[in-house]
Amino acid sequence: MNRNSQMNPDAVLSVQDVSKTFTLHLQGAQRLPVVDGLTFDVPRGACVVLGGESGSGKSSVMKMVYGSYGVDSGRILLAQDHGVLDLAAAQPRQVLAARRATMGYVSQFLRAVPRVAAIDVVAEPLVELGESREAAAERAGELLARLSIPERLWQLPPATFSGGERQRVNIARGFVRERALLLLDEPTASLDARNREVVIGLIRESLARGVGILAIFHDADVREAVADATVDVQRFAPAALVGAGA
Amino acid sequence: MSAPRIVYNEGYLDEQTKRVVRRALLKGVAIPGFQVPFASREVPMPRGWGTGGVQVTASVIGASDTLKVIDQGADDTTNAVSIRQFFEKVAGTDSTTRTDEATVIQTRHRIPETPLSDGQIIVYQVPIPEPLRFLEPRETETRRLHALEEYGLMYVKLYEDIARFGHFATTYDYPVLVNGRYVMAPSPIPSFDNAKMHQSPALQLFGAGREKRIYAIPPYTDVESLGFEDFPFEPQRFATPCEICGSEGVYLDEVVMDDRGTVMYACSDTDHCERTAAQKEAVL
Amino acid sequence: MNDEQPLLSVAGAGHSYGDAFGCRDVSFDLWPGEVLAIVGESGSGKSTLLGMLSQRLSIDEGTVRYRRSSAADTAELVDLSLLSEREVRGLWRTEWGYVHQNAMDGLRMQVSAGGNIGEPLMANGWRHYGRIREQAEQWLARVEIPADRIDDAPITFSGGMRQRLQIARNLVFGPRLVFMDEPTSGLDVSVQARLLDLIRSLVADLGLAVVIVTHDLAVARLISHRTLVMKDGAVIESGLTDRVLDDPQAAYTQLLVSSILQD
Repeated sequence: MNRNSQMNPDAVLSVQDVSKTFTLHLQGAQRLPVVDGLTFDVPRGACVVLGGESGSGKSSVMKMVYGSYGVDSGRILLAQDHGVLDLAAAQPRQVLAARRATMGYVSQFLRAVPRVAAIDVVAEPLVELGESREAAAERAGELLARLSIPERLWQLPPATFSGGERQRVNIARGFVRERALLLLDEPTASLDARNREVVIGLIRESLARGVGILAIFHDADVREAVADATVDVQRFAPAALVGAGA
Repeated sequence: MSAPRIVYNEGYLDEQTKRVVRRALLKGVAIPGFQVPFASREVPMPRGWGTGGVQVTASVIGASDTLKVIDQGADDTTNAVSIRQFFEKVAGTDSTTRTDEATVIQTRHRIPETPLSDGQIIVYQVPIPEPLRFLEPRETETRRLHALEEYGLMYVKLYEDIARFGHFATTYDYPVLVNGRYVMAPSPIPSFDNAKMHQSPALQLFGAGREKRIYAIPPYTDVESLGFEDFPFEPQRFATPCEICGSEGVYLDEVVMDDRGTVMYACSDTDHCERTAAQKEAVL
Repeated sequence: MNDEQPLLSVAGAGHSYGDAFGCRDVSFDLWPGEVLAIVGESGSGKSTLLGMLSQRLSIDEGTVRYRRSSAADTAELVDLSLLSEREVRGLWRTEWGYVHQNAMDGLRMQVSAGGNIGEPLMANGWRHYGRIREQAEQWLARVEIPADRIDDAPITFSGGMRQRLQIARNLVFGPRLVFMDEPTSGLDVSVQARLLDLIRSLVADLGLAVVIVTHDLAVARLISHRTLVMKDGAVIESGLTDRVLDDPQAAYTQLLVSSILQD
């Protein structure tokens, strides 16, 4: 918990003056800047969309918030039950605790753990919370059904599913447990119109319950349906640094 | 015939050696069940024939003693007779086959049926003094286990017996816990005899010559055979009495009578058998 | 249990082989329920570090401190090099487990599976055959070894099954900290997957802290929360596993990550 962190009480996430540059040591220490001075808030009950062209660093920003990428400077403040945490400076176990309690994440690709049945993949966040496997599985089943995953697939590991099916399992897992902040990275990329509608419905329900959402949407219609604000990541692109070993 | 060219010290061993053995014995008595290493000497028989027992006996025996030697309960086997004659010669002891008349009893693989009394010494011949040896071949490790009182391994062996046979498979040299502290190998006496070691009035001494270890159980010491709460130790039982003297509740030997496989069950303790049979005849 | 204090605290620790250091200046804290992966190639010092943490190798520099369960109220960490041999052996029976790379090193190959699992219990004073066997049965089920193998010796088991038996033997007495030395190496890929899955679920169910040495980054990604990357005896990068693997900062880590065969 950082004493100097100042955060808007209505925001669940506050990104403040974040900068990041990749250094590719294997390519002669070439530096690849991503963002500089990135600043935005995600208020409770609002959906903030990261905009910008492909390659502008939207996914990277998402990963920085989640903790999969480090940041070079700046603060990423998360409002938790017991106080504000600066994810950029936090210890690994604090980030892990924040992910369990406060941050949900639907990544672009489902990392399928071998041998675990789809229904258990989805139920896991609830089981982690202490719920019984039966109750968790029931809730998981409801979501899978809503996302049109046929019941005959529930006991199979998602490694064998189609891309769209895996994505829907991913989405179910992201929504099965309500957390204060939800990160969505292209959740509808491989979905048909019907399932896109289902996802829009899930998003709206969460927003109505006060969840703050940070999202990247490929589809314009989904964006239009749920976005409350857009952050153009390209506005925060640093002046490009050229050359090796700078 | 001229005078013998070699003059033996009383008891065969030189006095310094006797001191070494006695010190080891004192330490063994002070730490019941603990294996004390000692510098095992040459005696006129090969290793594996009771050299440890002989060294212990030689160190405690004197001209005023009466010695009984048994080999699997019998006084009259070649080895028992040889050892008895040896001590008659080098220590000037009297010999006897009667348990109640002996002051020192050297035994291989049996405890006499006649209860021992205060003032008697029984010396056991021990082949392998380490009860954990077959489970843990390293001496460095078994010494540590004894020192740290880590006997889980012993119970693993007992567990395996029950899992495999439904009961303990070891019927001789059955491990015991001495004075609530050291696990000890009682020598290959039948488990039937284990109970006799518990709270015995006699001094029990153990000698392993080849393995160079001495240990002891002082009189009136607790000796408990290992077991589980739900599978306690149970000694062997014999359903029939001795066919010679009619004794019950004694350890019986199976004696083959002829080529056709006829067997007879008789007391392994020859002294006990003779006396019981003689008593019966006297009554008749 | 005080969760503010770490379970294991390593500060500037190192082990030397004569003049050369096998590993040097290693520092990290480990909390209950955390899985820490130590990754590196051959000669990186990862095995030396594991050996030092588990007290098989001496701590020649720095300190390794551990919070014993007996210190639950005071939450005091004790310097492992100050413990007597009896105390350390006691820890191995009650609080620590060690899963060897080769199951043969961690099992009694001629003793039945039930006896192998029961031994730590018997070492801790369990004297009821029925209850010991019951625990063994439960653990065999938990590591997915068929119940009818309870009286078979592991010399008759496959490699994967031996490893699972080794895990059962190490968890039966409820340790808080388990060291694992490349537990999946040498096993077939499908067997590895199954074993890792088992480890994952046991760690989650039992709230174990684990220190696992591996050269395989995929293993680290699958089961660890945090990762230390070692090279030439030094820790060159550490942090959240997904951060270290997705956004490696050190040149060597980037090299390691880029060397993973892509499918």
